Amino acid sequence: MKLRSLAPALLWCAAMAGLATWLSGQPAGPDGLEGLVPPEHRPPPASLVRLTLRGADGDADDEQWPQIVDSLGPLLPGHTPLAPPPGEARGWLDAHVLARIAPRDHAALARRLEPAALRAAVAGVRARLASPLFGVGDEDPRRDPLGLRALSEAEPGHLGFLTATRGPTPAASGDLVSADGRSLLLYLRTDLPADDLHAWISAQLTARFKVGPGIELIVVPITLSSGAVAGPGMRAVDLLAATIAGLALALALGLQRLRAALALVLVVGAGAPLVVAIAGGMPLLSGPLVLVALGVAAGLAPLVGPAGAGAALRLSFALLPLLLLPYPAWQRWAWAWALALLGLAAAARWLGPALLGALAARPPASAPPPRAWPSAPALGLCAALLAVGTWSMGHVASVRFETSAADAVAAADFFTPSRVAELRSAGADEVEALTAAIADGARLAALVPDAATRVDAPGLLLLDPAESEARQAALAAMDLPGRVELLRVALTEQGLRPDAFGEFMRALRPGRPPTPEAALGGPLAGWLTSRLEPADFGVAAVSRVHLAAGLPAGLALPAGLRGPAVFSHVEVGARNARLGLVLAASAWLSAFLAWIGARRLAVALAAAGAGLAAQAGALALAVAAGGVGLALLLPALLLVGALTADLAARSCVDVAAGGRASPGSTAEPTAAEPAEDVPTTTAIGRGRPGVALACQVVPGLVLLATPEPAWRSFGLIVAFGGVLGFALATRAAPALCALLRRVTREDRR
Amino acid sequence: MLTCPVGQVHAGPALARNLARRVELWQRPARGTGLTARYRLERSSSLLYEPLRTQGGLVFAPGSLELRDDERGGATTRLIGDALTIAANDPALPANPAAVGDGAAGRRWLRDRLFALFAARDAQALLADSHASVPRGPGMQIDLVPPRNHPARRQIRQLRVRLEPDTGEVVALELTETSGDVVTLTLSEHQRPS
Repeated sequence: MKLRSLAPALLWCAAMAGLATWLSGQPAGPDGLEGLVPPEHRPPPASLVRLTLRGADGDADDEQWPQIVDSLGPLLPGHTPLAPPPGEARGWLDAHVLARIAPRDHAALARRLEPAALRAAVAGVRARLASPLFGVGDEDPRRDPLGLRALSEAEPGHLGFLTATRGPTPAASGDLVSADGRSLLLYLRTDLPADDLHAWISAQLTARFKVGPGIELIVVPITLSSGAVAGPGMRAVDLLAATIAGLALALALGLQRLRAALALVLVVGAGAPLVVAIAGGMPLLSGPLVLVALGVAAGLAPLVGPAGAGAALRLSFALLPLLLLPYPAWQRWAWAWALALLGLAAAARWLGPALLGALAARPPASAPPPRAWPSAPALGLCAALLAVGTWSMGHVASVRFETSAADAVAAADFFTPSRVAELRSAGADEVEALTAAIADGARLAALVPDAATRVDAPGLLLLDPAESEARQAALAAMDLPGRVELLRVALTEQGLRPDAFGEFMRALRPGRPPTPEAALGGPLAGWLTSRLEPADFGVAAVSRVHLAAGLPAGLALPAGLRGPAVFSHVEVGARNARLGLVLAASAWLSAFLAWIGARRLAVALAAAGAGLAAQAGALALAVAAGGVGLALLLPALLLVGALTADLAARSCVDVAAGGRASPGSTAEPTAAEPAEDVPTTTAIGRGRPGVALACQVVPGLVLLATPEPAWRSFGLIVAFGGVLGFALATRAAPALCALLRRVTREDRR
Repeated sequence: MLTCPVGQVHAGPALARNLARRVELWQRPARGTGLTARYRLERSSSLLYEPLRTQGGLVFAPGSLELRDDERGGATTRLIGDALTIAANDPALPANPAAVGDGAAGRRWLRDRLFALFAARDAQALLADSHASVPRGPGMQIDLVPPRNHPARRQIRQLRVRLEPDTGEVVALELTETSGDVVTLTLSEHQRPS
C-alpha cells in the first residue's frame, strides 16, 4: 500500500472528523420554516404570556387576580399593549364625538340637535330608565344621551377589542382578559428566551403579588412553524448514518465490488460534515438536501459517474432557478448546493482513485445497457406526464405559515397570532408618523368585516389636522353652546340631573380636535408611544390588523401590510406562477447546459423535455400524496429535473453523433463496444446510470422513513422522480432526440 | 352572612341547611311553565333627582320575559333568548340610540338568573356562576353575586331575591348595579297557568 498516495485521502478524512467534532458542539439552529418567509413578513421577536386563574373562587390567588390583570404587564420587559387602555380610549372617543362625525352627516346632526328632537331624546332616556334591565343594556346615557354615535363610527375597525361583546376585553394595562375573566394574555416584544421570561414573571408573581400555584403561567415565543410539520423526529447523525449505510449497500450491489464500494462511500461519506457545515445544520429545510447531496455525489464518483467534471458542474447549477423565488433559505441553497456538490464531487474525483488503488479494488464488470423505446411511445409518455403535471399545478398545496405554538395558546380565548399583520406608517417625527397612520388606518378599517376581524390602529382614533379644522368650522355654525343649555333644561324637565351628563355636555363644546399632536399630549400618549418605533428615516407608527381566516384568493391587501398571513395569502395567489417560472427556468437551464456539452439542439431539447416530464410526474405524485406545501418541495423537483436532463443528455449523445440512433439500440457502450465509440467532440460522457440512480434513491428512501411529512414528500419526489427520470432519460430521451434531429434536420448537417 | 361557593348548594352544614331550605321553598310553586304577575318598580340612580317609580305587568314563559309599564311615559322590556329590547311606550319617542355600553356579560348573567328564578325548578341553573348567600335578618332571602373575577361584575354587584314564606313565589328582586343604581322590583298577584 502506498501511504504517500493515501495521504490526501487520510488528510480529507481527518479534516472532516475535526469538522464533525466542531459541529457536534454547536447549538441546534431554529426550526427553519422562517427560512421560506422574507424577513419583512416574519413576526418580530416576541413572546405571548398567558396566565390562567386555576384556584377556587375566594382563595388568595383569586383575590390578587384583579391586581395582576391591571399591574403585571408594565412590570415586564418589552411589554406592548394588545389594545388601547379602555378607559382612556373611551374617554377620548367620547370627548371627540362631534369631531368624529363626517361632514356628510352634519345635516343629520343638526336635526338631532333641534329643540324638539333633543327633548324627545331625553324623554326616551327617562322612559327606558324605567326598565329594570336598563343597566345591562347596550345604552349608556351618561356617555351619549342623544345617540350621536349613530352618526359616526362607534367602533372604528372594531378597535382593539373595545367593543367586544363576547370575546376578550382589554384590561387597564392594555392586556387582554378572556371572556370568562380567568385568563390574561400579554404580549412581550423582546427576544429574551421563553425560559428566562418564565422565570422573570414567576419571580414577579411571587414577590409582588404573593400568588401561589393557583395561577398557571405559559410563555410561548411567537415563531413560525407549519401545521403540517411535526419535526424530523430523528437525530441528524442517525439520518446521515442511514444514508451512508444505504449508499454502501447500493454501491456494493450495483458495482458488485465490495472494496470499491467501501472506498467510494468512505470518501463521499467523510464529506458529510462539510455539507452539514455549508447547510448550517440539518433543520427542517436543509436536512433533505444534505442527504440528497451525498447521494448525488456518490453517483458522480469514479466507477459510477461519467468521466470528467462536466456532470458535477452541470448538476451544481440545479438549484439556481430558486434565485427567482422570494424564499431566502432556497436562495441561499441555490449557491450552497453548488458548493456542497462540487466539494463532494471533487473529493470523490481526486481522492477516490487513490483509495481504490490502496484497497486494490477491482473495476466492476460492465452492465447491460438499457434499451431505448420507439419514438411514438416515448413521445406519448412524455406528453401524458406533462398533461398530468399541468393538471397537478392547479392542485398543489401551499405552505401554511403559522405560529402554531402561539396560536394554540391564544386562539381559543383571544385571537389567532398567525393572522395578525402590521402596517408601518413612516414619518420624520411622531406627529408625521401618526398623521400617515390615519390614512393607513382607514385602509385597514375598510377590510372589516370581510377580510379582517379587528383593526388596532392609532390612526383610527385621530383626525388629520386639516380635516379637523374643516369639521370644527362646520360645527361652529350649529350654535353648540345654545344646544348645551337647551339639553340642560330638557334633562331637568324629565327629572334627570344635568350634572350626571357633564362629560357629554363638555364634548358638545368646541375644544381641541383629535389631532396627532393633541393625542400625544393627552391620556392616550402612553399607548400611542407603544405603537411608535424607530424607522430608517425617522419614526414609524405601527397599525395592526387581525386578518380573517380564508381570505378570498383575489383579494388585494393594502400595500405595505406585513405578516405571515399576508405572505401566505400572496403565496396562494402566486403559487402557480412561481411553480411555472421555476420549472421553465429549470428546463431552460437544463437545455442550455446540455447544449453547452453536446452542441446539439436536439440533445438539448430532448434533455430538457425529459427533465420536465420527470418533474411533471413527480409533481403529480406529490399532489396525489397531498398535504405538504409546494414551497417545501421545490428543490426536490429541480433536482429530479436536473438529474434526468443530465442523464438524458448523456443518453442522447450517440443519437446526436449519428451513431446508434435507432429504437432498440443501446445508449451506452458495452464491453464489446469500447469507449472509442463515444464521440470525443462532446463534453458529455457516460457512466453507470443505474448505480447512480440507486445512489440517488437511497436518501429518498431514508427520508421516506422519517416521521416528518415534509421530508417524506421530499423523499418520495426524489426516489420516485429519480426512477421515473431514469426511465425517461435512458429509454425515451434517445427516441425523442432522434425524432427532434429529424424534425430540426440536424442529422443532415 | 353565610356564603356558599360558586354554584355549590351544599358547601357547609349551616349554609347548606339555610340555603337548602330557601331553595326548597323557591321550588314549591313550580307547577306550570309560565308566570304572570303585577310589579312595582323603583329605581334609585345618580342620573335622577328623585327615585323613579312605575308599575306594570310581568309575563314569563320559558325563554322569554316581558315587563310592560302601565304608563305611556314608561317602557316595555323584552328579553327573548339573548336579545334584550327596551322600548319607550310612547311611540313618538325615538328608539334606542346606538349601543355604546358593554353590558353583554352582565345581561347574560342576569338573564340566566331571572329565567331560572321565574321557572322555579332548576336549583343548579339558579346558583350557577354565582356566590349564593343567605343574608341575616327576617324574611326568606337569597343573595346572588357574580364571582369576583366574572365579567358580569362590571355591571352587576348583587341580586337579592325575597321569597313569599308560604308559597315560595318571588315577591321582590333588588338589583344593585356597579354604577350605584339600585332597582327594586316588587311582585304581586302571581298566577301560574297550568
